[in-house]
Amino acid sequence: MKIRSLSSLTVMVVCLNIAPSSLLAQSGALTGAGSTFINPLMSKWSKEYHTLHPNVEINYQSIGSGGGRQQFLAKTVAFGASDAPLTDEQLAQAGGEANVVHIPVTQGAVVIAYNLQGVSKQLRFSPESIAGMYLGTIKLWNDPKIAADNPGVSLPVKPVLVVHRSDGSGTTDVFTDYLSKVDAEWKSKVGRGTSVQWPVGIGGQGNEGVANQVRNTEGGVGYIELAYARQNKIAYGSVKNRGGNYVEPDPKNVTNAAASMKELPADLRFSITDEQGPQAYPIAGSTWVLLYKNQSDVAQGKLVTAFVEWAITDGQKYANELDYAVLSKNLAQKAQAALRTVMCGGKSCLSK
Amino acid sequence: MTTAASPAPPARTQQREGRSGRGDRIYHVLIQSMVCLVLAIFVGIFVVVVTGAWPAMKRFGLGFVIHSGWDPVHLVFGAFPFVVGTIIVAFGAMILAGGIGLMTAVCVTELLPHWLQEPVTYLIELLAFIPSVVYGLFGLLVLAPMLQRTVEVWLLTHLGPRFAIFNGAPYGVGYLSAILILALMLLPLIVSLSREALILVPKDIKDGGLALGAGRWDVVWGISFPYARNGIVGAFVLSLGRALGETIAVAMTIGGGYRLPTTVMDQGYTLASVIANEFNEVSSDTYLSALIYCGLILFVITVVVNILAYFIVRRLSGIHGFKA
Amino acid sequence: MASKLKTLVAGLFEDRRKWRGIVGFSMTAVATLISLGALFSILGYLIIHGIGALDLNFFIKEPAAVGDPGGGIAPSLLGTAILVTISTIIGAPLGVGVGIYLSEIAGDTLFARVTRVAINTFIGVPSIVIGIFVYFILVKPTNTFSAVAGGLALGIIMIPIMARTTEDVLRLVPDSIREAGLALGAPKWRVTFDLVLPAARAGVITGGVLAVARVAGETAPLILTALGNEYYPSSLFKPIDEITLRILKYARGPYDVWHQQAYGAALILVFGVAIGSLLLRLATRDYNAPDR
Repeated sequence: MKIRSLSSLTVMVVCLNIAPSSLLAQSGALTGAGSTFINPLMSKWSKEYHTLHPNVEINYQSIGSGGGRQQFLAKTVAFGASDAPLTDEQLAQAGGEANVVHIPVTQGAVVIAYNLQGVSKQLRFSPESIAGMYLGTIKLWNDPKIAADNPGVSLPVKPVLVVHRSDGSGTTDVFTDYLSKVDAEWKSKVGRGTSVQWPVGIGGQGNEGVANQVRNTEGGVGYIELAYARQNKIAYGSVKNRGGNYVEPDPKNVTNAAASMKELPADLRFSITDEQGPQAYPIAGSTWVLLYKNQSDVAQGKLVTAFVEWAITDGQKYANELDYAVLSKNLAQKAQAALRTVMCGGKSCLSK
Repeated sequence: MTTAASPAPPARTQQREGRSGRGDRIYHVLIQSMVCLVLAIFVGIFVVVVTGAWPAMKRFGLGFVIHSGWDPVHLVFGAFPFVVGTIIVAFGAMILAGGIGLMTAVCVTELLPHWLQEPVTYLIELLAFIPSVVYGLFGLLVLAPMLQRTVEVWLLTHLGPRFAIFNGAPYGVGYLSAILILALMLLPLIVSLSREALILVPKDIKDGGLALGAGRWDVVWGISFPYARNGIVGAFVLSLGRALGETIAVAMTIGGGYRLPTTVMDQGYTLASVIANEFNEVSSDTYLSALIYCGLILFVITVVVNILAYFIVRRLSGIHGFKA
Repeated sequence: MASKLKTLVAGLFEDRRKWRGIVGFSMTAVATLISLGALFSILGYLIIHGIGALDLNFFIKEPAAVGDPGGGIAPSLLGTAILVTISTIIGAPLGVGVGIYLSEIAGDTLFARVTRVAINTFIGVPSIVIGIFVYFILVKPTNTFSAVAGGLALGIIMIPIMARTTEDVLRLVPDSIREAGLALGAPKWRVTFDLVLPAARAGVITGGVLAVARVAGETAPLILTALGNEYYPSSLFKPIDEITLRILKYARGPYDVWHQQAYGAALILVFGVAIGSLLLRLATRDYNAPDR
């Protein structure tokens, strides 16, 4: 919508707020907030959807999964996006399991990104190295543990400058979930969560902030979603998985991880870290869109469910080029089924 | 409105009140209701902040202010590092900006030729028009990486082994960046206020000093400074107040740390910046309340500093009889 | 021998004073160079890194998808104008009103003293606290971040600033003007609005412009009230974008495109405010009290 003059703006502003928005078939502006993990993809989705439906504006603000869940619970946004499903307490706050749906919309890899100017070969990381760096027990890049992962690579005698998230982060949840599974010391000392007490390191705001920090810091290491590393040409390493292989954080290896998941819980709150498969990337995560089962604003409910349905079907074609993994058929079907349970005034929002 | 002159004031007052008393009453009511509305807003702000902080106040008590530890998972919150951070950053910036700014003001008033003084002052005052976020931009993308590659590495390698205070990991962002950037922000304030104070020093007193054989620098140090002391102290205090409330530039450059600083390169948080960075994404009501409690503490610190400032300036005026 | 010693000592003393002067004043010169250097390096960086971003797209297009080129920051420019307008509509009348009260009406009552203390206190309250206030009274109850909430927060920030500058400027108007009006039989409200305020007009406007400039650079309260928007503003009751919010977002991200646009936006903001203040100085110069 282009604004031509202040007066037409005033008219539009007044009219758009007193005219019932259900008059126009697919028209309106919605706000979603949350995960920075999915921001590159979500931002692409909202632009492409806007091209297909010029009257619909999906304003997505990437403030972090913590922010997405918080604003979802406060009901200040139409939908939240989070890489960590709601905790049991938060579910209770939202009115219980019967009140909320988690719709998985994409999956991606959390990579170990680093900034070492002199090292051209891609580094490999074992769980011990990663945990060591983030626990503060590994202080220098030429530490024996990292050297053991990378035989033949000359590592500089530089301090390891750890970067983590300062905000409430789903990416952190995925990362700490992984670390808790592979390292007993991490599990007891720090644990898993969207915000934890980091033993060392500095905080960046969002995936964007961590990526920026690693880029600006010689010797820095940070955990970010693959798209951020690739788009900004930040080096990242392969990670040793349960099977003993150093696996590349590629979308197809994320799909491998998702495929290895044994069973899918009914409420679709699952984790795909540290999976079994030989080529499964161990630090893999998913992003969920959070919606209330009963949409009090019927027009908004219809818009939001239509958008999410598009995202998990047609929208998936944008995933790979942005380095996210396409949802498996099974998962996509389950997601669509869950989406159909969202009610707008007694009927499913998706019903015509 | 009557234009006829009238002899007896009381009668005329009555006449005036009688004829247009209504206008004045409306005027008074209008203005006073505006004031009431504004006061209500201020009371409202205080009430909302206290109400929001109350759960955390009940849970952590006054110990919140002196305990450390910020654990959103286990719900243990202590704001001491933030209080310390606020004080270090604000005072550090004030001292740095105060020193450089005061010296700059002396140069502008004493050294520069008259035609140069106004433009140079104007240029430095331009610094005041740069918004906080632009300082943050400069700090985050230019200053911090520069510090990281040069100063901090130098400190770590040359002084680090011997002095623990320099033995920190060189991240670039942290107290150093935040203090430098905040000092830049305070500079125009100090320069313009100090300059105004120094200009007010009467020329004859200074000439008297010169006549007695003092050098020009001695005149500045021994005559101008004491005479302008109120204005200069006022400048410092005003900039301290500004520094305490500064949020965004600090949030972008201070790195985000929850522990008490042990080295010069450490990261930290101030009360204002921790709220800005974490408010929208708290994971529990206790967390939210803890952040608002931080806001309340900041509010109290600001008020206390303002009160102290008022008394300091008044006392200084009283002792010397000089006007601020 | 003794006289030689005396001349030596006298010479040393005089030299010490000279050296004190040289050292002292060179320190001040260095300080000035640092101050000016800081200004020029910041402006220099803004210009060098930001000028490349200032193409037509920048000014009229909405942001592109993350990392894609070709987008602009148009919504934030319009959003800033809208937020500043709302905040001025809310803050200016209230601020000037309180200023009038403190200067023209207030006696030595408790009410007057409380008002003065309140204004002096809240002028220094960090803006983030005001953001928290508006989040709880407007954003949460209406279930949406909005331009109105952002404007309200900024307007509240404006009030104590405008109250103080208005009061200061009104006090400078000599009492003789008021007495002349009263002597002619004018009611107090006429004296205030037709005589005192016009005499102080330049100062009040200056105060207003300064408050607006200050508020245009405020980011923290907007994080909690306006949130940000990737699209042109279509409603006052939905999230809205603003220049400083956009700069914050882009500066913190890793994308070079974002960094360049952040510098460009900063450039617009700084030069806009600087030029505005210069024009203001020139325009109000004639009305000023005698120059020092």
